[in-house]
Amino acid sequence: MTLVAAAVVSVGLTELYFSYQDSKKALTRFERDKASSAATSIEQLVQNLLLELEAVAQPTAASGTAGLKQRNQDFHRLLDRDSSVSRVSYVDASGSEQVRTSALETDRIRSGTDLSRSPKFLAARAKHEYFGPVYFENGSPHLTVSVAERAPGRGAVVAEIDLRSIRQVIDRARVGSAGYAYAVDSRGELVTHPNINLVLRHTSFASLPQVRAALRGSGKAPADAATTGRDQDGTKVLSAFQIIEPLGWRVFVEQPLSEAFAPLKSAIWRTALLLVAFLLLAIATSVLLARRLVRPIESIQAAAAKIGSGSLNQRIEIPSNDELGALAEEFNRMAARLQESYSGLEQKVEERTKELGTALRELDQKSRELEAASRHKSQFLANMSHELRTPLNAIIGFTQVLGEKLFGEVNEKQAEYLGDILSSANHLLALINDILDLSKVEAGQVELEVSSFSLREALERGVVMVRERATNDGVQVVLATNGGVDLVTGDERRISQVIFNLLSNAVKFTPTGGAVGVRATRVDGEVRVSVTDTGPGIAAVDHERIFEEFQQTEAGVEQREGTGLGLALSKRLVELHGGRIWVDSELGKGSTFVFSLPPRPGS
Amino acid sequence: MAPLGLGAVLLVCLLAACNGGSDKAAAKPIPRVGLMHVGTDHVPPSLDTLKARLRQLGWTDGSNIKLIWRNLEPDEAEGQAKAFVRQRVDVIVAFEDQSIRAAQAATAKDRIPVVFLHPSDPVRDGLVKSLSRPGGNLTGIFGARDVVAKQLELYELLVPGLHRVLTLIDPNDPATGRLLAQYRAAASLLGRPLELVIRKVSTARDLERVFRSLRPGEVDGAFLLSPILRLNFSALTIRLAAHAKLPVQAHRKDWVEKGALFSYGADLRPIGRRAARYVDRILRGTSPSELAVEVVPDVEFAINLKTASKLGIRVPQQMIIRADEVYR
Repeated sequence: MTLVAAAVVSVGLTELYFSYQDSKKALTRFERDKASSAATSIEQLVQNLLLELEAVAQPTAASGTAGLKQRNQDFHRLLDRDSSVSRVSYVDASGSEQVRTSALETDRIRSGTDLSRSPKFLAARAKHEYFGPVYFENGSPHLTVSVAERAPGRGAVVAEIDLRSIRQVIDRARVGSAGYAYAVDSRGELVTHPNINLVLRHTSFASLPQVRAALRGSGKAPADAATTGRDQDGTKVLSAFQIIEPLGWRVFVEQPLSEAFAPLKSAIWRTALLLVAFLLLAIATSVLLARRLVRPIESIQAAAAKIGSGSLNQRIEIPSNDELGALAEEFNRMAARLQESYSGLEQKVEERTKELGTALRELDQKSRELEAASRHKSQFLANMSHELRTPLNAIIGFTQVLGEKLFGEVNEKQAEYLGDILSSANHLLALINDILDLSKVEAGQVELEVSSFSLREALERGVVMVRERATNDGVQVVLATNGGVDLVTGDERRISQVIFNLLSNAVKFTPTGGAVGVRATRVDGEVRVSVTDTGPGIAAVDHERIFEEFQQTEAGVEQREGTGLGLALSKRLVELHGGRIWVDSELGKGSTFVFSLPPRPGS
Repeated sequence: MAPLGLGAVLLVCLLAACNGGSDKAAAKPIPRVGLMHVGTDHVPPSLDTLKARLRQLGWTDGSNIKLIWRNLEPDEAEGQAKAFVRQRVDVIVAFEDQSIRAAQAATAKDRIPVVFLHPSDPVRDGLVKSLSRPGGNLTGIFGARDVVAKQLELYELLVPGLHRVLTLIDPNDPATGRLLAQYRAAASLLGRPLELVIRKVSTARDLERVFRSLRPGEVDGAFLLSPILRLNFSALTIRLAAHAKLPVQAHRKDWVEKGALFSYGADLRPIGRRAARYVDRILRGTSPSELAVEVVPDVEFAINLKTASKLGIRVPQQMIIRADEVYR
């Protein structure tokens, strides 16, 4: 609105400024034209007067008194023709007045008044014509005009002119209803003015600014700029002037500014009214716009904020059919859809949560079932092993009895088979024992019988147990222990089982001429037992796998020995002690199996 | 809403103010102008033009101005001037010397503005300090009325047989002395020496006695010199002169129409018109002391050829040409 107001105001002011300048220029031009025409009229008047005087200044046909009387008659005719001439004289070559003719005074022939030193006579003779200064006689302004006689006598005719007659000429130059025209002489004395009283009172306008300026400008045509001046009462006027050449007077045409700019004033009023009207219109429009535009937008904004803060059931009510109404409607639709999908989402989450709970419960159930199954399996295995071992022991016992030939001779073939039976039965027994042990561990049925025992002795016993096999295979077994690792705490039987397992594996996989080293050390309080062989080595990918049940390396599978349970069992046993078991190995570079035992098993 | 209310209040105030103003204007009485003239045998021609011009200037008699016209006998002038002052008229317009003197005397104390028309000599008679700055309560217009020198000059030119001139003067008229001096000076300057036969008259009876006492051929023409005489006895003088077969001069052409041989003097009609301006300015508040006296130099020359032929006078052709008006 401010923008609109500023635009309207500035346009109005600009227009006013230019129309002010234009009207001022036009008015000044108009006044100057008037002044010019007034000046021209006065000049014409003066020229006519000069012609009249020239006519009566012709030498007379008669001479002497008759000639003077003739002149007197001529002068009377001039007075009759031109009422502005109040007195005419003829002055002879010596400057002596010969004829004086007047409308009010007695005519004089040969008055002899001496004018020989008067400029009326001298200037007329010198320059042929003469215009005197303005003077007052009988209360009214007069002007002396004289012309030289043509030829013989070379006298001069001097006429006194009543200047009030100029008024009619100058009155025609007035502008508007309050405008007026006046003339001042070269000293600024008022010569004619519509207010005759000012003239009769011998008023001087020399102090008026425009007159002062005009008198200072020495004779040239006035500048083009508009002049504002003041009249005798101090009222501001628009003023233009023109010089009356032969007389040195100035004609002024003036008009009070108030009248001169009256049309402009009405334009200002018109513009101001338009301005006010436009502003009111702008205010009304903006109020209307606020109602029609801003308020709906505000309510949309408020609704959006509420929806943003969660109240999805918020709706906008705009009872209009325009774009804003459509926007609000769209907004409401959007909010509705949002609410709809929000509630759908909640329902779905609820459903999924419920499903997840169910799945978890099922999983729990399953894992419990699985656990039970596992327990049952271990139980079954333990029971089964026990049940299997009993007949197997019988097989082994009877086979040994037969082999010892206590109950008769057996032939070579029989003895060989008995040996195979015994070997297979022992393998089976070992397998069953391992399965039994493993399942016991998994079923949590293994109770460690912890005591302090000599690790060194356990190691020596293990070495002894594999020595026979090693010797047979041409493998050297070296035991290296130091005094710090003699006594350890743990289940001696189980640890011995682990040592034997590792040693037998090492011997088993070490080719002829190889060596197996056993070493026990104490590192950071825990005891580490390592079994190193010079066997085929184990690829890094198999380092973890070989500790799982029934998992063997390719070398192990080729050996067709072992159950694939030894390392898994060893791992369970070491872990039961709270220790760890691992392997350092590379293919072709032998293997080192290490297990550690904490200072206090189980801690 | 508020601006509308404010506008309404302003409008009401404005209307109230306007009413107040008009009430005030109505309360002010219309200006009254007292016009006085001595010389009951005629009405000055300037009266009609003065009234007409006042109408043009917006003053209509009986509507917004009251003009009180009084045409008086010589002895009534003083009383009427006092009456105007008692009535507190706004302006007194005095048409000739007697009225002017009466008005001047009556307003000496009250300073009621006086506009005079064609006095003999306003500065010398003490009506104004100067023509450009009157300075008192009197101002007016000053025409070429008593151009006795010029009249005598023309008389001489018109009547070739004029040698002795019966000159009628009223010694009671203050203008007489000055005019007589001009008259004598003019006579001495003329191409033909004239004998001035001066007779003192103050009343109609005096005038009748003078004419009765004239011997045949004693004078060749009559001349009314004192303004007071031409004001009061122009008609009578013309009658008496006609009876005595003598030409008589007049100061304005109306009397030429009624039998005077010629007149030379101001045309009074434009003077009345110009006088209206003074009344107007004074009624609009300008002080008479500020209004300069205007001199109207325009003169009219009228000849009655009927009178001339009756008296056997052959008027030179060039004089007929010079005349502004010729009655045949």
